[in-house]
Amino acid sequence: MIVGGFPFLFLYSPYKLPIIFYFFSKGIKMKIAVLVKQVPGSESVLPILGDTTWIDEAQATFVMNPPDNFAIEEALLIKEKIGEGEVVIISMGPSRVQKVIREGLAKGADRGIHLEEDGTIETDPLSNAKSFTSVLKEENFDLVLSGLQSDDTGMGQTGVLIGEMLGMSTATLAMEVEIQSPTIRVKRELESGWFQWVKLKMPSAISIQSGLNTPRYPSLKGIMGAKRKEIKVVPASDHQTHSKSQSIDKVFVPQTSKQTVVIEGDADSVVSKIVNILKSDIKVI
Amino acid sequence: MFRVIGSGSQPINWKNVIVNWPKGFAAFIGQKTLFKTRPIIGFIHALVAWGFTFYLIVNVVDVIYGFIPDFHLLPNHFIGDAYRFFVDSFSVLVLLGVVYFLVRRFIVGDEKLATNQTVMLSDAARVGMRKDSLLVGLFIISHVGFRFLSATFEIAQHQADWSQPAATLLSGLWQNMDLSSLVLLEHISWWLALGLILGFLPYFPYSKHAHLFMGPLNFMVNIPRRSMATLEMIDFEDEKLEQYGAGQFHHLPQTQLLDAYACIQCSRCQDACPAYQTGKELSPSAIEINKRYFVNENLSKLSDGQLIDIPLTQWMLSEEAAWSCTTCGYCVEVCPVGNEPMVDILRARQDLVMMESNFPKDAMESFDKMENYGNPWGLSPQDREKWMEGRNVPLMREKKEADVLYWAGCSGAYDSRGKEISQAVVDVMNKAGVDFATLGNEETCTGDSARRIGNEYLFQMMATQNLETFEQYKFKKIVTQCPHCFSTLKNDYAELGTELDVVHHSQFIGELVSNGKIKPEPWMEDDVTYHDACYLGRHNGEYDAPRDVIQSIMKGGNLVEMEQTKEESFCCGAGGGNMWYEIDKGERINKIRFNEAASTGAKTVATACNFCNIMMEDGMKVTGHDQDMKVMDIAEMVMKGL
Amino acid sequence: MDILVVLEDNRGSLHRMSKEAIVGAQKMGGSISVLAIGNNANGLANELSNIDISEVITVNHDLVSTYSADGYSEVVKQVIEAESPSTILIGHSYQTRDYIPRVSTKLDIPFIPDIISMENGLVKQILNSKLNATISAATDQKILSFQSSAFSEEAMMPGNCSSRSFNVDLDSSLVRSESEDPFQEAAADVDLESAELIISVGRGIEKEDNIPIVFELAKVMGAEVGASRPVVDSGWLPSFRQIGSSGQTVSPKLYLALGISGAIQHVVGMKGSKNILAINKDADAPIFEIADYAVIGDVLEIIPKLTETLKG
Repeated sequence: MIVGGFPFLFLYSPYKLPIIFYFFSKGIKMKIAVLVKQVPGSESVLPILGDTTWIDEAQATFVMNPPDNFAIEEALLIKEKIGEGEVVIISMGPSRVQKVIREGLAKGADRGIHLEEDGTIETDPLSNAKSFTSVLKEENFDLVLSGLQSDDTGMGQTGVLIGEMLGMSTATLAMEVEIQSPTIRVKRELESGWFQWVKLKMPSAISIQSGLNTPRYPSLKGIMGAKRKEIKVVPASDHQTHSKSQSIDKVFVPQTSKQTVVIEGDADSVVSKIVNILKSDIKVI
Repeated sequence: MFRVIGSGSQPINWKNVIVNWPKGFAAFIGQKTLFKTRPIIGFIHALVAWGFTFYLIVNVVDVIYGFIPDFHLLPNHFIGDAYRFFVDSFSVLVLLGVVYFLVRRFIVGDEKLATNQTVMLSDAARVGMRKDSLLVGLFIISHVGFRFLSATFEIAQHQADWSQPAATLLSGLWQNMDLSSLVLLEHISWWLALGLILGFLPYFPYSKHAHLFMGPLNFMVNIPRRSMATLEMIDFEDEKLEQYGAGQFHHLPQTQLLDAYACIQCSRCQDACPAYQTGKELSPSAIEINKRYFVNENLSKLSDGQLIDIPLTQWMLSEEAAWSCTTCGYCVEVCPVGNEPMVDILRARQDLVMMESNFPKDAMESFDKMENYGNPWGLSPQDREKWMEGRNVPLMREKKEADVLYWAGCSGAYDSRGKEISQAVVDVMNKAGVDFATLGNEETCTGDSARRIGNEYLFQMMATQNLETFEQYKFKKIVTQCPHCFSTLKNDYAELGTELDVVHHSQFIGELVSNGKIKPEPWMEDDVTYHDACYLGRHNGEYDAPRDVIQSIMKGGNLVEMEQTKEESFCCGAGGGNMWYEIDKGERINKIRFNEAASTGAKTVATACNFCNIMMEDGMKVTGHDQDMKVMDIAEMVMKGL
Repeated sequence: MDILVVLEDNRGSLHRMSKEAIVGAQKMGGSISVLAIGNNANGLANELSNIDISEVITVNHDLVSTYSADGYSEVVKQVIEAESPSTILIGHSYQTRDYIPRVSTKLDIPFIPDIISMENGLVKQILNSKLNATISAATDQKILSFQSSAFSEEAMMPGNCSSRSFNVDLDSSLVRSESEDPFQEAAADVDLESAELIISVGRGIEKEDNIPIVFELAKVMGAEVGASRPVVDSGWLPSFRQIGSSGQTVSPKLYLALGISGAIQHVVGMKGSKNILAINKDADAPIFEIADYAVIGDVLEIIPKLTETLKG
């Protein structure tokens, strides 16, 4: 009777509507993490340190990693489309990275997490992924978004490493994202103008290809409001593993830096020189 | 009407009326503002206006005449005769004037009075403007006409009065009428003349005729600005402030709402608006007229204090129109009733940028670049000193103090022509033995572009940074390469609380020449024409210094002026942020202006502004004049003579 | 084995980058095994029967008949665990980015990507290709991927090799994704921002009538056409082709600037290009300051001849 009575209770209870909505909404609230990195800007000076291990960051101009902008925008668009959700901006680095976390908050993200670094510059993606994972795993995100790669080291793998560590499905180079809870449909960019749709079971770690949306400029209300949003700081000792599986030994200026090759002469000889350059040097034909 | 105005933001300080009444009075009587452009029309209007003013006295006398039979003002006295003469003359002049205007509008159809179909102008307005003009015109003709007729009937009853020559002449028509008919007609005319006023009164708030009072009032309560585009500072620390800029009707400052009532819909502001004249969606007159019609249509709601929730971009000006403005200030300069359409555009931009985050993508990139790299091109801050290579340019961080701080600005440091201009200015200063230094890569963008596009927050950030840098050093005067920097450092930074002594390089060089510190050899054999920079000329009133500098190096040739010159100069098209994004409609502004320059016959176009220089050089290439003409900055012209 | 090279199938035949990776392996020296996965594994193996490698290992399991990140990463992991190569090589393709990091995690070995040279250590470009870095692995086993054209497939050494199949142990719950068929998108508008080759035209083209020769050259080279502001202002080309501060910002592999002076409004839109070849009559044109190759000459003479030569 108890078993049989339950459906009756459900069907005839005046509370059935709220119950239905409870289950309905529970299914479509999205928790999205966006991994962002603060990198030297494309116009920044890049003076190499005396010991050639890295650049002198004190002299560089730092900006949000441009591909990450698209990831933030995509996360905000997903949250807006679904209607309910939380977007969390996560970044690792010295205190200056709070600036890019605030930028994400100003655009509309809900809160931020700052993983502090202890002063050493960690370039090993596996080590970094382990740091992030230690913080992400308790949060149970539905989606972990990241930009395609960072403008500094350009390893292009941290998002996927984290996905694997958290047991999520993964996809990269997303040009379009469709949420069809509990799956996500991603249009992946392939080489030479080909594309492919892939359906994955969430939770998923997706890396976002640049250009799939137009990142918004934060409104002034957003900028003001960002000052009041929470950024949780995780001390280095709580997450850094220094499991360095790879490291940068030396940083140097490429030999073939801008030495302008001047070509003069009559049209025919100039043309044959150009063809040579296109074929052998630049390799575009 | 005043309740409607009161629904706006930034309350008017009505006490100013007491202080400023001479301004309004002078504007009304002097009619000076009408002569800036369209002088002939302005003169005819002056006659109508003076006549109408005089009629205030006339109406009073007439009312008395209505009650006291046979009352005449000072009959047989020469003052009374003079009075009647003026009444007579003005009656005729007013009638002729208004007929002229009606013919001009309705029969000749002067296109300057109309607005392109591309511009957002409410249909009610397009139709209503004509209806309004017709009604007002007919009212004046009827009122003045019947009064005049009444005078003729009166004269016909008695005898010729040659202190009223026109009326007397016309009274000849009624010579053979009997007395009682004349009296009847005289009374009818009298009643019609005065009765029409009463009939017109309820229509008055809806009509552009309200400019009679609102125009002079506008002059009295307008907020004094240091320069046309220098808006009041927004206090971002004020927690209570919820709205930045204007997104809806009630966000507009009250003076701007008063503008709607003062507007006479003459469209002088359109005549040389660079956006309008090149086919963009912007028309400054449409902005004011749309406001007026919005008010007319919602009069009861607004005077009840109701807030109307429709975005400005749906009825006042389109988004594209807002971005098309180059902030040249022409509309503000020529408005006869002291309106500031440009301020409406700037306030609308502030809302679009700061509240809606809705603005051209290229502008967004410029903001990011300004914020991250300190210049709108996004070039490395370290490269700011490249133009100094190989020259004796003292750095402020080494010298710590100097008489003059040379402000190169972003263009003066990064643009290839800008660098050449900076070099010329510095060479001149060295030749004159000026004690100067420059900030080098401690300079960061003044924030002018950010402010004009509407990003007040970014502007204040840049300004604060620069002001902090200034604190570290001692200098008496700042000399800027660029008029935008000049205007911003001088006027906008002063609004933030720091008054700086700033001059533009044309003014500084002008001083050096007149003090004999440098004696350039005249060398220019051909004609030269000078293109007035908006931010130097209209915004800050400096038209002469660049011309004096040019004259100092003229040898054989002449300084010829373009038709649209000085206060009426036609913008190059780069201001108001348009340097950083493109409104792709109609013609390119710089091409039009360059053609105008070329048509003077001069071989050299002189500029005083880096943006103008870039625009004119582009215009030169596009019009195919790059082989036979040149564009030179005045600093370069001086340097050639030293 | 010393080296395991993982192959990629490019719509039925061996991907060019896989061949380049084999060349890299041959340069490194040692015993080379090559792994082919999927329903075309045997076809790929056949393509390599005359190449100087030890063997081709084929994996042909239902669950990995077509590519999936879940499937491929598990297969590669199992092969590495079984065969213990010290180095795993692969071309740095879009597919590699998609699943190799999973292998890196599963085995806790580093993945060093996008390598351009092995001359003096493993060299990778960093910071928008402005600097290079030498990277080393801390573990004995490592995965390396090579940038496109780091090696040339023409340098592949011939020989012969054997082939064998490898049995993987895969669970049906392994693959959590469903892929649809790949497709090509119609070239809608010109997308300069992602174009690899751009030919850009400035006032040096002199007349609107000369514009077609630029398009001819572009067609032969497979390039997109861009323009500087004066050309767009004159109405010779539409505004979506404008490159510069109030236009598009591009960073192609090759930017061929024809008759462009190099004013800053234009330069800021293209200076991220990897290679800049500028042709201009004026030896002092500012464009030459940022060009890799400065051709001082008349574009009107050079372009048609260049087109002719490239056609033939």
